[in-house]
Amino acid sequence: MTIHRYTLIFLFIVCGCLESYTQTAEYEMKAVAFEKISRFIEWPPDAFEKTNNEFIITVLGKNPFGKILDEIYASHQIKNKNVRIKYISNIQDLDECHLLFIARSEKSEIKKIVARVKYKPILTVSDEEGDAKEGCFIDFFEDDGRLHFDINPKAMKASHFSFDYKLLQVARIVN
Amino acid sequence: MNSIRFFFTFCMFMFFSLSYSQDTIQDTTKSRNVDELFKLDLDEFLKVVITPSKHPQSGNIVTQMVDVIVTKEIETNVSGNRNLCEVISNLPGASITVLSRNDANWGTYGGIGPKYSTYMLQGLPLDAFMDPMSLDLNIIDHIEVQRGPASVIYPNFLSQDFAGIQSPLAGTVNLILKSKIEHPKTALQLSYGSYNTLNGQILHQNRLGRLNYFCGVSYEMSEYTNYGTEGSWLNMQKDPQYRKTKLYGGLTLFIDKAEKQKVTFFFQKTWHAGDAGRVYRGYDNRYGTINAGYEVTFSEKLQLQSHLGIRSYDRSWQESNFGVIDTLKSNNGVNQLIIPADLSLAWIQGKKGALTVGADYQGATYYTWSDPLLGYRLYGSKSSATQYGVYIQEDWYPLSKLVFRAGLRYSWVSNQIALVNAQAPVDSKYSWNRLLWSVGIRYLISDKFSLYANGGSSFAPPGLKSTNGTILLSDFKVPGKNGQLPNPGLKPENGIGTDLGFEGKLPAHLKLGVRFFYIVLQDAIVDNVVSQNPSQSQSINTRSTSLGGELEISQKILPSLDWFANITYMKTNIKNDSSENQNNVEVPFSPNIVANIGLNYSAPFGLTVVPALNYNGGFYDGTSITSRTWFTPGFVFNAYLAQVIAKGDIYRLECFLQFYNITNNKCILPWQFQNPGFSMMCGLKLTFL
Repeated sequence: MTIHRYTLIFLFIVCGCLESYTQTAEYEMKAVAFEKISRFIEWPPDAFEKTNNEFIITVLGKNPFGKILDEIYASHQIKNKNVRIKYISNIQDLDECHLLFIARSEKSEIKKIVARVKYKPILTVSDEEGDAKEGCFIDFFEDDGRLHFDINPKAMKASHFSFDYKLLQVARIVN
Repeated sequence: MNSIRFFFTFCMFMFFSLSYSQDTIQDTTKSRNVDELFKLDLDEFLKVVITPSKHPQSGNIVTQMVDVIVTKEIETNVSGNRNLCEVISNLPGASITVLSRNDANWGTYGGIGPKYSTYMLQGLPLDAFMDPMSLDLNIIDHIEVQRGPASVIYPNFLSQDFAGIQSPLAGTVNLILKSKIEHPKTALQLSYGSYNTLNGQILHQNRLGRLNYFCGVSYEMSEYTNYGTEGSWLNMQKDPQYRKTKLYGGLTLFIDKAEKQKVTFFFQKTWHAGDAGRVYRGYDNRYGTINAGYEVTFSEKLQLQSHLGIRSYDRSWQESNFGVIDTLKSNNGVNQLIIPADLSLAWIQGKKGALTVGADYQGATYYTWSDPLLGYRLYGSKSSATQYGVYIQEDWYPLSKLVFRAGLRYSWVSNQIALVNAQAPVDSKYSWNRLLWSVGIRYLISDKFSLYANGGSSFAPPGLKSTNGTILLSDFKVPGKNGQLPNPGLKPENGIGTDLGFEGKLPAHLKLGVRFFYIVLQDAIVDNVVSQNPSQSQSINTRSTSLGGELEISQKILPSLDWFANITYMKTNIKNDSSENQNNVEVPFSPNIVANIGLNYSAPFGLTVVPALNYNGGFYDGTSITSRTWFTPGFVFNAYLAQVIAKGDIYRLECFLQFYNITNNKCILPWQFQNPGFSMMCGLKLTFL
């Protein structure tokens, strides 16, 4: 009985640690990756005209970041602009935005979302591997415990985004 | 009753586990880790490597195994011997045998001897023996260690000193300089420790528009301690004091706004002076390193890189008549200048494939001298060497899960010898040429598992020191005649290195790696210790093989806690039919087993704890069964501890402790050297952000 109890205690502690690690490390990395990737991307010239020198990130769907995005970007900028975070549950609610993060909960809606933002100066970043093939600009995936991403340069160029070649060298290119 | 108690316990621990999870999430989010992540450039953030093909690639899709040592690992490394080699000592397959703070590393990589893993600075070769003693760790952004053969796109290093020419047959260590400065920083560090050692460092880095730069200075003075064995030829009569000063600076200028053209420049000058424990055993070594480069991206598909370097090594020392009153016998020196240059073009094909073509050059001059108090110098050896190479390598991705690599190099080397042992040689010019090859494959079984295999050839002619020595053949076992005996009949060596490995990512952030290697060298030039006192070596030709396996495991338990363990087994053999006494023996300096275990913990309240345990199962120092000696370094346990004691928006004050050889293992080393045992340093680091 004692052995079982201590096994249980051990498992709960380990599971607690691992679960928290999985969530925090992954989404901390993804939150920081927004800034890293943006360094190598140029938005269309008129993208920031209406937003009062703000960089707006919109999270669509079930928010996996918790408070991470708000806390991180309270003290960090993207492209030398202060960052504002918006959360929406429906693509119809999307208004001014520079980076649209599509949560995994929207997996079945990806084609509809891509069609909605097509040709707009909005960088679409999906949390689901394979969405770049569906027309999303970037999707995240994990390998070797490290964050990686797919990039769809054809779709980006169609929306008048330009990007540094270095981004293509570190990403998996689709389409 | 038991059921009720169990249920109660269950509920309590459910509560604590969930609370703990929640706390960890919040702590981590607020932790300094995020700030650290923002400081990284994209390459480091995504662990991109450049060494395998000279253009950036994800480390997961290259055929070779590449380890990346990041800034934090460099900063928390405990360098008991002040040698850059110690940073890689925890990697599988590496055996580090640094003789003292004033001497070189004679360790091995892949069990095949000390000169088959080259060192490079930004892709240009360095000296594996001298530069790790001189280069400052503050200049380095990260280190890429490529395991396995790399002789096609990287040349040999034409050093004539120490063990002679070095080739990247077993691997290469590429030191990547700081380039794009994302955040300005000024760091001041002062530490004091064992042997009355005082160390001070200043580093400043900043960006002004498109100009990124860093500069710094470090100074260390120490009374050190006797690092010779009892009765050693070193005959120390006092503590061997030394002073080491390093001055360095580097800049990266992006010529255009799109950063498609980049000019880089780096220099370091090191002055290392002291005495070897006697009044007239002083030495004064000066090392200079320059790296300059120009890189241009013509298009997304075409990139050009060009680099030029200067490496100068000026070593001088005194020889004395040992006695109750030491008397000066002579001043002596070795001067070496090596200029490497490289030009390469990468053509990106399709989504990932790349064709790399390039050419490289090295010019080297070398001379030794002695001033036996006559008022003028007598030159012992004078020579120059030239090396040209052209290479081509293709990385081909026929399927998304399959990577092929193949390459060829044509290499031409010539030695011009003006003087050997103060006399003009009969044959003054030698030249060799060889065609080298390299192939590799990686198959991604799934997103989590992959298999890889590599093979490549190498070629190295004998160095001048190996053929002509630093003392005369007639000096064999003559008391006071320390140095290398000549062997003019040495032939060039040809090698083939192969490896086969598996990488896997298991649940719970566990990573597993297995790698087997087999290296064979025809006419391998091996340094053989022929006398302990006087300290004498001689290079000989043999057939050397090394067969081994590496097993490694690592796990990131929390963002702030990870651990690693690895073990490498090597079986080496030298065949020398001409001498029964040197036949079927182990490769000198190659241990049969090395193992490492360590962890890295960073607490949210600013505490960093990095303990590491290294085990070396032992090695011989020579190939002669009757005169070689077995050495067992055994366990060396080091630990780094740091605590942030004050922190503001623009500054951070940290105190740190470095413990070297905690178990005070005073193991005997070759050439009658000895590990002096436990030492520690304690210091403060003030960083302005």
